[in-house]
Amino acid sequence: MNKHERTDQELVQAVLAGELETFAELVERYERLVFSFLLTRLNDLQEVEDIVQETFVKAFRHLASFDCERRFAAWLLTIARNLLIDSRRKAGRSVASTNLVNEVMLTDSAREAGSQPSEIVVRRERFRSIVVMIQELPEELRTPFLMRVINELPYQEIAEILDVPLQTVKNRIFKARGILREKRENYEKMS
Amino acid sequence: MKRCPENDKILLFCEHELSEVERAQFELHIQTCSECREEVKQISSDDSLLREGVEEAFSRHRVTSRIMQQIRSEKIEPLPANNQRGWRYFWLTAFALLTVFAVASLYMPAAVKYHGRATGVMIQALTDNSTLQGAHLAADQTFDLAAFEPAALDGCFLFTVTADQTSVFKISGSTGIRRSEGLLEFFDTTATFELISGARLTIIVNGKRQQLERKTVFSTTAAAIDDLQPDAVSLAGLDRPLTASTTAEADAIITSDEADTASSADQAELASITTGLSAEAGTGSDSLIDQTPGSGKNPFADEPLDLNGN
Ligand SMILES: [Zn+2]
Repeated sequence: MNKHERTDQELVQAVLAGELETFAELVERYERLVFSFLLTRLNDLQEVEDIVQETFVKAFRHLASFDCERRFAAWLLTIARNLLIDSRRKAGRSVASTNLVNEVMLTDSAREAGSQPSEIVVRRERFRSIVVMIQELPEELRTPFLMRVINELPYQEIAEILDVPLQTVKNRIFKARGILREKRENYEKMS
Repeated sequence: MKRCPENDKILLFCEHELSEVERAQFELHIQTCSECREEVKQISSDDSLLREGVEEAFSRHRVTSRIMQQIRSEKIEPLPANNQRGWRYFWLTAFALLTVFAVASLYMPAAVKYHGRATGVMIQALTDNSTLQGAHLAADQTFDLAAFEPAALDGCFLFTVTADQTSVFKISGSTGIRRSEGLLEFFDTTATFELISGARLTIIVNGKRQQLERKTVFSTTAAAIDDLQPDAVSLAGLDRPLTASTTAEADAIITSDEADTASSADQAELASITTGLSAEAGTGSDSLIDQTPGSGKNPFADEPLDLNGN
């Protein structure tokens, strides 16, 4: 629709100039990123939702403090991360853990609507095993890997968000893939 | 297991990191090599499955409209950019007060090891969500304890205490405060204290005498330590001056008994907050969050609070 898609900085400026509704565009742009960032670190989706919401509301409130030299996504993740630490602290160690995989893959998903039950089972089992393998990755590999696969971000953008050199991002994603590949082979040998 | 010699190109192929020529060659190769073909297929189908799974969850848990609704219904507006200004004022004020009190202290009796007998206590709110007697204060708003004693505080405050010498310390959390036999007494306190500058000071916290020393951070509960940073700072400034004295390298961390178990984790958290996204305390890594892989009981989620695991 727009001939020219506004940059994050332009959107921020617009909101600060009084176009408050424009903030929705920033939310649309980054909600998925914040969601998937939190998804790998929280125990239930309700909590993920809440922190996503809090993150954006807090970002909105403090928008004038956003340093336009920084990446908006990086700033959002800093906020999300602080809120995450906060919520963990409040919850203490005894957070009830739910089976997120089942929650993520609900039976009524549109994708599975027309599938055979056996296909659904196979698909979920596969998904579960992928998630378990990813979960076993060290955090420093997991985060860029997920940004790459789930958010389909270019290496350069991941590098900027994580504030690490481009080559480091590439190395980590390759390392993650290498580990996952070995795990997949072992997993297939066992099953 | 003997692998196809072209096997090491698979990941590069999947990540679109092969040169055009290599790519063409590899595409030719997988037409004839089922082993490589299968693996490429597997990787890309696993990627899509992961993406789809997360996408399914995301589509059911979007909150854009909720966010905008909250902003509209609570009439939230962006706050003025007061963190830079606020911190500049904070330092100017702290410096000005210190100078005044330092000069004044020349005319006062010589120092004792720990001083007390607080004669003047000026308190400044450091964040816009701080309250005095339940009422909101503007960031930077300053008041004299004498006018509100006993005061009930909640939030983040800078204290400038004149006794025989001057001390400036920061407190985050909630507490009551009054003077008791010349000493500052904090009661019903759940807070973190940090001496910023000036002389060591004796205070009473929840009935116990405490020495507040330079580079000391202490909390009366395990929970308070990341409140050390006012909101605005943890959001934008990972390089604000104050954080320098609150990193994990702080010389002394005194915690009260009940805080012992959590203090090291909190400390790592604190350090990770002050250093931001790109550096993790203790681990030396530059990942976004803790190094420790999840416990296994919950696929996809990290073990809560396990932030300094090695
Ligand atoms: Zn081959």
